[in-house]
Formats: sequence, C-alpha cells, structure tokens
Amino acid sequence: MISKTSFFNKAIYKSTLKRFLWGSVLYFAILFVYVILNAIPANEYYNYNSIYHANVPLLLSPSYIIFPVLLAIIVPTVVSLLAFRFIHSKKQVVFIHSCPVSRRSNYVSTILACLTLMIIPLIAISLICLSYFNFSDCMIWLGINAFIIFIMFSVSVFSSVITGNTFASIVINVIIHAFIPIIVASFELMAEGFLWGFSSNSELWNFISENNFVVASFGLANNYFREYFVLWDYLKFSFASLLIYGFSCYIYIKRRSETATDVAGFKVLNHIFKYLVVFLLSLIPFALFFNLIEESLPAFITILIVFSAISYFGIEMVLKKTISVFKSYKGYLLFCICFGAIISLFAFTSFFGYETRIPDEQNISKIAIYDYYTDSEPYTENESIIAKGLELHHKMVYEIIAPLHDDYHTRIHIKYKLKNGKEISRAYRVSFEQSQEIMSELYENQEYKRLSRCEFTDNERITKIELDGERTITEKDEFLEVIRDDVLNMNYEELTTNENEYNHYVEITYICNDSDGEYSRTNYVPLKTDHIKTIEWLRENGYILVSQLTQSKLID
Amino acid sequence: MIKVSDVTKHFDKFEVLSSLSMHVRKGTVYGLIGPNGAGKTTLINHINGVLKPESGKINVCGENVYENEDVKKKVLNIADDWFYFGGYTIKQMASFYKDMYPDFSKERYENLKQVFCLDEKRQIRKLSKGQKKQVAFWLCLSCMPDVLILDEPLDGLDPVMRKQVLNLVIADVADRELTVLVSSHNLRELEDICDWVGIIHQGKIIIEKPLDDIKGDICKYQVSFKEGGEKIIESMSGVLHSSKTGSVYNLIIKGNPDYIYDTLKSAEPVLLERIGLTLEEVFIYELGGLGYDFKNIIF
Repeated sequence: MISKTSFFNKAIYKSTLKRFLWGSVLYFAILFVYVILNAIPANEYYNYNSIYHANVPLLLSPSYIIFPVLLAIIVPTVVSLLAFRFIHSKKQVVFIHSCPVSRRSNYVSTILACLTLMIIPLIAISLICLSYFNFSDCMIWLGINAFIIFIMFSVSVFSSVITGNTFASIVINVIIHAFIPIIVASFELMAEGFLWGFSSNSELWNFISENNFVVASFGLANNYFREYFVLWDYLKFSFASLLIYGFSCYIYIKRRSETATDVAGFKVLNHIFKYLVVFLLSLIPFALFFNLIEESLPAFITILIVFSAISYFGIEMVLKKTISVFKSYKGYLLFCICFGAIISLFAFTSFFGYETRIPDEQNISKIAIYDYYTDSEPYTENESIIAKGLELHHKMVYEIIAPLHDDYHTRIHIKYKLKNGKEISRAYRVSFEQSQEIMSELYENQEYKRLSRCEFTDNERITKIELDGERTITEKDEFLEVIRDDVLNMNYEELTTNENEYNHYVEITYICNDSDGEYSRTNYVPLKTDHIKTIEWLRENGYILVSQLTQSKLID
Repeated sequence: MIKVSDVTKHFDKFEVLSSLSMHVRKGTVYGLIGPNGAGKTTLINHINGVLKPESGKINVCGENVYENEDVKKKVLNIADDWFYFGGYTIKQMASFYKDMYPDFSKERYENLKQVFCLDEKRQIRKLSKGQKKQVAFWLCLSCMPDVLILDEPLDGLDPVMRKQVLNLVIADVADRELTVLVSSHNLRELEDICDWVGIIHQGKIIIEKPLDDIKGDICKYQVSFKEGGEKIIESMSGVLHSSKTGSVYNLIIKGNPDYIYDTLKSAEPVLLERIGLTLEEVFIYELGGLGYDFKNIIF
C-alpha cells in the first residue's frame, strides 16, 4: 500500500522557525543598526552619503547596500548549515528520520521555514525604511536582498545535502561557487606556463562572470551593473536556483542516513571530492613557483609531486578518518598519470599545434594587433595591416626570444576573425624594447593609427570631451580635428612615453558597439608636448588658462 | 506487528545485517539481545524507518515502514542517547510531539506529569541523564503509540523510576496491546518483562523464541557418578559446557530437559539436580556455542 505524503509538515516548519528565530532576530538587528540608524537624516553618515551619491537613490547607493548584500550572501550559508545540521549528525538524523514525516515534506518545510526566517527581517527593515526613503527604492532594496538570499540559499542547501558534515559542506559550498572559475583559471595557469602565445579567453570569462551567483549578487550592489541586469537575468538565476532546489530535494530523498558525519553524502562523491580537491591543490605550485617552469622544469615537477602527494594523502586521511592511508597509493598513482597526461598535453605536444598555428592570408577576414597602450581591439580588413600582422605573427612564433615570466615585460596581442566565422587569439610576452619596435612599425601605418586610437572615433559616437576631468570642451568637432592632426603626426614613442607629458589630459567618452553590445566608455588621453596644435587650440580657446587657474586654486 | 524478512545491510564492506529475519507479535514485549556490534541498533534503525535495507522487507503494522508517514505515526522510538532540540523546554518538546503525532493525548500527558514530577518549563538540556530519559518516556507514552522501540531504555534511571517506567509500559501492553521491542544489555530486567526473546549475533537472529521456551531449552545439571562419569557425559549430545568440582560435574545441556534428566538418571548417579538458567546465562551459553568468548566472564 502506498502511503499518502504531503509536501508540507507543520511540526517541522514550526520547530525550524522556533529553533532559529534567534538568528532571524540577529539578522534584523544587524540590518537595523546598519541601514536604519544610518538613514536617520541627523546622522553624519546619512548627510555625507546624500551628497556623495547625489545621483543614485540613497538606499541603493553602495554605502547602504553593499553590506546588506554581503549579509545576503553569507546568511543563507549559515542558515543552511544550521537547519540541515540534522543530516550531518548521527543522533539528529535518527530522530528526524524516525518522525512521521516524509523526506520530501521535511525538505520543503525546512526550506520554507528558512526562507521565512531570512525574508521576514528584510520585509521589516523595508517597512521601517519607508519612513526615510521612497516606496520604490525600499521595494527594490527588498527585492535585491530577497533575490540574493533565494539564489544563494539554493547552493548552500545543495552543499549541505551532498555532504556528510558541516566542514565539508562549507568547503563544497565555496568550491561550487568558485568551481568553474577555478577550473578555467587552473587550465589557463597551466597554459600560461607551457603554451607560447597563450591568450586568455575574455569571452569565456565574461560568460562565467555573467552566470556566477556570487558575481551577480555583488553586481546587484553596483548601480552600473544593476542597470544591465535585466528581467531575463533575474529569471535565469531564479530558474537555475529552482532547479538546484529540486535537485537537492531529490538528492536528500536518495541519500542514506548512515552517511552522517562522513565527508560525502554518497560514497561515489568521496572519489569526486577527493580528486577534485587534490587537482585544485596540486595547481598551487603553478601560482607559487611559476618561474621555476622556465628556470628548472625538474625542480618544478618535484615540487608538483610533493604537493600532489601531500594533498592526496591528506584528503585520504580526512575521508577515512585515519592516518593509515598509504595503502591507497594506487589511487595516487592513477592521479599522477592523469595529471601528468594533462600537463604533458600542454608542455610537450604544443597542444594540438596551438603554438604554431598561423592562418592563411586568404582565410583571414579581419585582424587586430594591439598592446597595452591601444584603446580598443582595432579590427581591420586592411590588407597591408593583415600582411603586416602575419609577418609579425611568424616572427613571434619562430624568432622572438621571450623574456622570462619574472622579467619586466608586456604583451602584444594578435587576433584574427576568419572567413569561416572562427577566431584565433594569441598574446605574446615581449620585452618593452621588443614591443616598442613592433608597435612603432605598425604606427607608421596611418590607417592603423586611425583604428587604434580613440581620438578617431566617429564624431557622432563621441558624447563628451573633458579637459582635466573638470571642463567640458563644447567645440567637439573643432577640437577633434586638431587632435587627430597631431596624432597622425606623432610616432608611437611620442604617443606613449611619459617623458614629454604636458600636465594636462583629455577624457573622451564615446559609445562603443562591439560583441558586448552598445555601451559607453571613457578613455584617458594624456597630452604630450608633441600635441602642438591641440595645446595651441586649447590656449586660444581659453581652456588651458581656466584649467590652470582652477588647479592652482585647488593647490592653495 | 513487526516483520523483518531477509534484511541485509552493509556499512562499507562490513556486513552488519545478514539476511536477518524476525517477527514481533502484536501486544508482546520482545527482548532483542546480542553482543556489542551484533547489529541491534542498526536493526532498530531499520524498524524505525531511518535506514533503508539493501535487500529484504521490513513491515510494521502490515506496511513497509521506510518513508511511510502513516506507519511512523504509530511507532515511537527511545534511543539510548535520546535527541531533543537544544534550548527546548519539556513543554516545547511536547508541543513538537503533539504536532508530529496525531494520537498525542493531552490527557495522558497531564496524567504522566504526576508520575514524573518534572517541571515542564525546564530546558531539557539542563536535566540529568536520568531525567532526560524520563522526559523521553513521558512524551513517547503520551503519543499513544502502537509500537514502542526502546534501545537501552533504563540506562540512567534510578531503581524506583525503572520500576515506574516498566510498570507504565507493561500497563500499556496490557491495556492497549502496545507492542514493545526492547534492546538492552541488562538481561535481568528484560527477563522480568519480555514475552519473547531474540538473540542477534553477527547480523543474524540466531534464536527467536518465547522466553519460557528459551529458558526451558537449556538447563544446568549438577551430577556425580560413582564411576565412568566422563564416558556418560561424552556420549550425551547438546552439552554446551562441562566442568568438574571435586566429584561433581556442572553441565549445561541444551535439549528436552525431561529427556536429559531421565538419561542422566538411568546412569544411576549419586547426585543429580536440575537448575533453571537465567536469561543472562542462556545468552552467554548460546553465544558460547557460536564461538563467542565468554570463558573469563563466567568462571
């Protein structure tokens, strides 16, 4: 006979509320002290922020929202550890699971009680805030915090149900949030060490940061980011969280009570946790002893072996709760073989021809070559620049002797957009002298200069030009004409060196339209003594004089 | 009432329950005894619905107990280390039981308050071990369960309270046909209350019989022969233990007591006396027969 079970159990809900009410009160008290007391107009903090964040609703300004957001990230983790502690304790798991409540309704009731405990203080604070701030700001503040709590709690719960003890739960919670960034960063670190010309994939990093719960949560505390966080993003994260809640429920139903106090809630996860953590810990030498890769590969490999051995047997000791773990050396050998194979793939195979891949000229649609001083990715179809780029790429692959990682260096980036839609991106470590030589050659091409300097952005897309950050240049077209003329007459060294600085700078704000969409960007252009026509024009139009006066006033 | 059929359970590679079967009848008190590590608590946790068997079935009140809310409403468990929510008073814990168990009787709760004489506003964590045990009985009996599972139930209780608690349980067995499964190492106390006894050893129930049968099965015989005593004893089957003090043999023999008595008598002994064994002695001799080392305990 199949038993009838409900989704909700009043006793579990009530007892969870009762047991952790203190936490809810504490959360409220902290928010009250931070938000409400600082919202009283007589308060100095309020007065300071009212002026400093004049263009942003005060309650949503970083000063008022960053700390609550930080709490909204941390509190769910603490709550899940407390509320799901019963599955990590042998005594509690026997008690709760012998009660007449199905795991499903136990899970749902616990989740609902926890969310109630976390959301009620936010609602209370928002209601009190209505006395000081307008309704919509209070509701947005409430919505942001509640949303972060909802998404962060899903991951915390998942960490709790897949682990067998509190410590493991905390570690796994952190790893889940950082898992993809850590894995990608780890492989990039290896590639950086072994692959000549390796270029970090910025699009991948953008994707990772756009879809990371912690980054999104912190982003919501930032006014600029919040503007770009659209309904789809809220739906995307909410849906992902709901899936995690559902999957966690399934896991909780399937997990065995006897795994309480173990590291993992399922035997199979012990191996996954073990190799994942050992892999991540084994990458530490890449961060700490990176220069050894070039100076002494055997020394680096020795350190790698020592680190991985300590990590592997250390984790084994934690998992098996004994120091007699050396019999499991076969597992370590397996790890060494796999880890060694990954490193060998990078170090000795040129990673499927990654290092020497140079596209044929007829397959290239666009090319961009740039260094640190270039304002944007100057993609061009110009045939002479493509030919120059290919020549440079050949030189990089076959001729350039790269400086060591520890030496003072910069990077030259070469990017191709191919006619088949694919992209090739490389970044080469070069000395400053090498960089100057390469870029000077490129700057001899006026077309390249027009592409790579922000001064040559279309007039219509330039929204603002400011001198020294304090005076707007209203004669935009006239000014652009003279500065462009100067830039075309200057060489790379004159444009990038600090030796000819004129103690004034220009900020050019313009609308960018690239793969990230349309957005506003401001570039800093230091004026040099070689900007002869520009300086003359600024003097003639009274900009420099006014600016100097203002500066001297400030100094006084 | 409780039927365990062919249940197997492993913890890692260790087989804790090995095709274990047992049957607890309605309205009886079943004593589950066994050496440390035999699998008693694991078995109890299966019957509570906490653990899921790898194979076999566990039926309580005719239904599978695992994840079955309806069945669990009728089953109450008092573990040796009974759990309560930290910071809860007796009254708050009672409120939890009231919400959780629909048969919770407020009237019974009030009546038992007079028996246990504990202040219900006191936090449970501040009570002594014995008092916590009293609270466990108080709350569990107030739930009016059909099945009560007790794991080392009397540990920590003083002699008077032990008697009180046992009387309450026995009264429920008599009045409401409460079924009790009790696991304890205190065999002297089990002997007073159990109708049935099951001995568990290495994950298997090796004996499951009414207490009277189990005790009747094995007897101690003191016997002395004029001559040829050793040959007579060697020829007998079911001898679990044999020792000699002077000319008197102390024999523990399993089998029909009357038949054994007559057999010994037919050898014309100088002295022949049959003495009933306590449950403790039965337990020790039965396990001794299975290789459990008891030599240093008894003699």
